[in-house]
Amino acid sequence: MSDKRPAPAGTAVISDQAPEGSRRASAGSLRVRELTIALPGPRGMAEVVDGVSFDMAEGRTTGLIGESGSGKSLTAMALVGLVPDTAVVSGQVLLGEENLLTAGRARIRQVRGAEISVVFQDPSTALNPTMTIGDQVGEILWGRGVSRAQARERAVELLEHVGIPDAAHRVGAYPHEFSGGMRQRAMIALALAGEPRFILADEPTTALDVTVQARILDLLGRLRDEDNLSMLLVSHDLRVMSHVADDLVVMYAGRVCERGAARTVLRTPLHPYTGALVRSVPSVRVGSAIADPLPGSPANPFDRPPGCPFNPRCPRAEDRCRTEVPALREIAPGRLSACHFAEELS
Amino acid sequence: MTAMGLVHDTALPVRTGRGTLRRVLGAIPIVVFGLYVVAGLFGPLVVDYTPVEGDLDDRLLSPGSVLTDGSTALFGTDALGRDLFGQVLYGARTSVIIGALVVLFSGLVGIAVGSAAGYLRGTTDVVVSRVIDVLLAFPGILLAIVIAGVFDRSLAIVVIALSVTNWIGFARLSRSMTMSLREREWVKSATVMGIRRRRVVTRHILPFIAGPTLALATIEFAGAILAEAALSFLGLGLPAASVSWGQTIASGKEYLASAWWISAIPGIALAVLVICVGFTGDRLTRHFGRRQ
Repeated sequence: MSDKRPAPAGTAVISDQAPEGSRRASAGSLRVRELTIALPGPRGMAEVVDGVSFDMAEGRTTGLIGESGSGKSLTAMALVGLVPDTAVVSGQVLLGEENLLTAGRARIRQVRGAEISVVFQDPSTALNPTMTIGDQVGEILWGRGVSRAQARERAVELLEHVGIPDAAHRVGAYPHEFSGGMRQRAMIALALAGEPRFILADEPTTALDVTVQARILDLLGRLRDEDNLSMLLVSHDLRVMSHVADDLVVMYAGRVCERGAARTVLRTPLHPYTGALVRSVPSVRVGSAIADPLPGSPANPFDRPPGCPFNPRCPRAEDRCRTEVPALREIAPGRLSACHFAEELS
Repeated sequence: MTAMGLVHDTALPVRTGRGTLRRVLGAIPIVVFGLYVVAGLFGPLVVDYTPVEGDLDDRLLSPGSVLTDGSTALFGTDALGRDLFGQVLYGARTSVIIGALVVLFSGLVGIAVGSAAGYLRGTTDVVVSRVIDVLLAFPGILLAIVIAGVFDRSLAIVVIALSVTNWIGFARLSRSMTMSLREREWVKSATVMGIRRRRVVTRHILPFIAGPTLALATIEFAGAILAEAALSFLGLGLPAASVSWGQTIASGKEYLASAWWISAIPGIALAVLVICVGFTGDRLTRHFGRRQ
């Protein structure tokens, strides 16, 4: 990964038409428009993320869900300019009126941590084992004209804020002295240190015990409300999503297949893939209903089938699905789906 | 990888007799290496020796002979009647100083260049890699001979001549380690928090290179000492007024048949030092290799 960005020339022309979902596109949201990321594959460049558009609305949690390989993590990391060296990125990531994909390195460094921050999946690898927790939380502030002593005080405040008990003492501890859940709390404190408006949480609970997961999710929800943060939650776990997400973006094989408010998307999916996802979650409460797993294997973005990428696994697939790529279109107010038969599904 | 310490006794199982023996044997090279460093540092304070003064009445005396001034020459004397024990002690100091300076100098340059190439990749990496390829095309000692031969003999020139090829090892090690470390999550995490690249490299990458670099440094240290002796043997090393094992070995080669000790004793001193440093290096490599 590097902070490589595409040359400005090729990307600046895409106009911000945004016919869909501009409902909440105020200056306070982070807007992603036609984001395309191409990576070199076995047969030339492949668009692993293909024309993804969505908004991270102010004060809300946007869930980005999809199977592994659907490009969801790549999409999230591209918002802070962290893509593989070989990637070719186009489209727009708009912070206010500024396209971050064409911003210079110095500007990106200002944005990182202070405007957009990231909570990583596995806190045991995302924290430097040779530095104390306090130093890592405070490190972001050192480069911004804050003295070491002040940075440490701030680190203690932040650790208290994320619910680490006895923060004044634990600030000098090393990551290996923390439990998994505490480490993830420290990771969140780290992400908050630069007082960002947007937090990208990449599978923030996947590496944690189930009992700890809910507490971390509650913490993220509390912080979002208290600090008025906008959050992008990347996960493959529908239960996590139903717990915290306000809006949902469902990705399949690098494309958005459905978008809308989380509650309605999960209740009445307008895309067969979302429907299959919902049915594949085992429910403890119902007990009797055995989860209905999705047949076939996830689409390989390097080898996407023609037409709708989901057609080989879709129970409703017809000839049209194998030839014509379905466009993402508004089916109901605020509900978008990329299925030819979305109307019938509702 | 956790903390960087050499202490790992706690992790070992209960000691057996054989284990103790192995530990004692394993410690020997480190102790011997330490003795050389102590001898090099403090020996000259205890033993008086000046390379420009010798009593010709005492020339070519065998080890243990009594000199005209009544003192005993432990290692004998050379063709000019100079005490060999003093030469070996002062030579140890020269060797340790040269080795340390070369490792320090080439290590700093190598780590800076290597980590920059590994972190930035792209053009920087291509340029660095090609320069290294070109330098590797020459035998290191040949390049050192050319440089040392062109300039006047001095300590600085010897250190530079040996560093010209010595930094390559450090550069290659730190380049390859940086390339893998930069993909680690905490480096990405620091990067997306908007931390400056220089700080990312110094705080999130370099601490993890330190151990293996230390192991490499011992090997390069031994190599530098050998190369300095070779240069001095060829008359291209240190000024004639300084004491170097290479010079002593060279001055004794005409008397190998009659006075073997002149070449043999500094030669043995050199060989033992290089072997012990090598063992120490192996041990460090194993130590750090185990925790990777």
